[in-house]
Amino acid sequence: MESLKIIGEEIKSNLQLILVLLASPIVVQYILWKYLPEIKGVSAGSEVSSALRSTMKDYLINATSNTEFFAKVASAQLSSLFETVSKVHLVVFLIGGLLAAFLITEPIYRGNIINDIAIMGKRKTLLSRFLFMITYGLFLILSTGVALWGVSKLVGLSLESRFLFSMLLMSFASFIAGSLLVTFLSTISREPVIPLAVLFIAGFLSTVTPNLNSLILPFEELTYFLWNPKLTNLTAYVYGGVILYISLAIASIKSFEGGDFY
Amino acid sequence: MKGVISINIKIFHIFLLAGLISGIFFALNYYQTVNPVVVEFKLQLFIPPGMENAYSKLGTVQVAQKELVLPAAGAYDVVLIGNCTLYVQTDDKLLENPRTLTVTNRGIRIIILNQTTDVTVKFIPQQRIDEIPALLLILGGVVGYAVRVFKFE
Repeated sequence: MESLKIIGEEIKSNLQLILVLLASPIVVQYILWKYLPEIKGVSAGSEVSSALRSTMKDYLINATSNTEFFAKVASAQLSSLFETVSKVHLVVFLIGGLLAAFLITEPIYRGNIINDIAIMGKRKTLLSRFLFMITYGLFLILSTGVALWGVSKLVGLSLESRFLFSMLLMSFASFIAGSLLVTFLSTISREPVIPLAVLFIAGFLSTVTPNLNSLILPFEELTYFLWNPKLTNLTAYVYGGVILYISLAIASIKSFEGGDFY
Repeated sequence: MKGVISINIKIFHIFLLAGLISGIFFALNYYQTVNPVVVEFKLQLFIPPGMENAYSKLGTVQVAQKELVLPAAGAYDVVLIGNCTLYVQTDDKLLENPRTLTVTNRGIRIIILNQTTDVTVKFIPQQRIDEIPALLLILGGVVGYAVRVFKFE
């Protein structure tokens, strides 16, 4: 397995790539810390008044009978979880695309991927580069999971293990989805600008409407589906998105095998 | 010719460093979030100094309530400075003059009865040692080792 060492050397000598590798877990964690503790739409009120000593008990009963505030806080805690899930999917999608740009697009652009192809053939070149991305993706997703568990415990959400599992699995899928998008586009365009531009435009478009979001990031809906199939209705857009990424995977292998990279 | 900056670093170290950095990041955010909360209730009823006991016989007392959202769930020590009866309502119970408080729903309601001085209520989070940063570091080490197993170096 001499060939994987070439990729290892390439990663080690690329300072920008190292910085991306180091910074990505922090970026995801920043999202967790920013969105998870947020309590939106709850106004904390305060009131000072005077009462007769004899009516003090009434005041206490009156004040404590209103439990709407607690229901509001509980639902705000939950909706900030949903917002965080959505943001994590988006960021992980972008990081996946960025890594693919470093590990696949750049060697194609510079032409040094030809060394790999000469040693181990096209399909193994693609697979071994994806092997590193998958390993890093696992690290990213697991560290996200550990941090998510810690932060959600801190903000008072007790996550079901099934939710955590489906969240991690599906955000890994989002990570791979981003890298597939960039890989496919770079095998066609053979330069880094178009794939990265499309990646970021796709990321932006996914925030515009819910339907586009289901199409571009279908794994976000699938997170909830895997967590509780009865409560989640999958729309046609989600199926469309999943089919899109499966066909992207096949198409990028085909176009990588068919392309000339001299 | 390589770049001007040449670093002799192994991929294993990159993962270990990434784990370390995100562990530190977690710890920093943790201690920034878990902060004491201080709530003040000023006395608005006029009571001449030294007349508190006489005044309370008149029958009019100051009462107050405040709803607030604590920064973190978990256990808090409650410190009450001032003269009053303190009630803290959480989503499942009502506590009278509590010394400690444990919440999962972060919303609480403070109710103050019988207030005859300025009152300050402090919620001090109990020190919790968190294992998450260590887990992140270990994770970095494990995945970094996996990269070595895959013969990337």
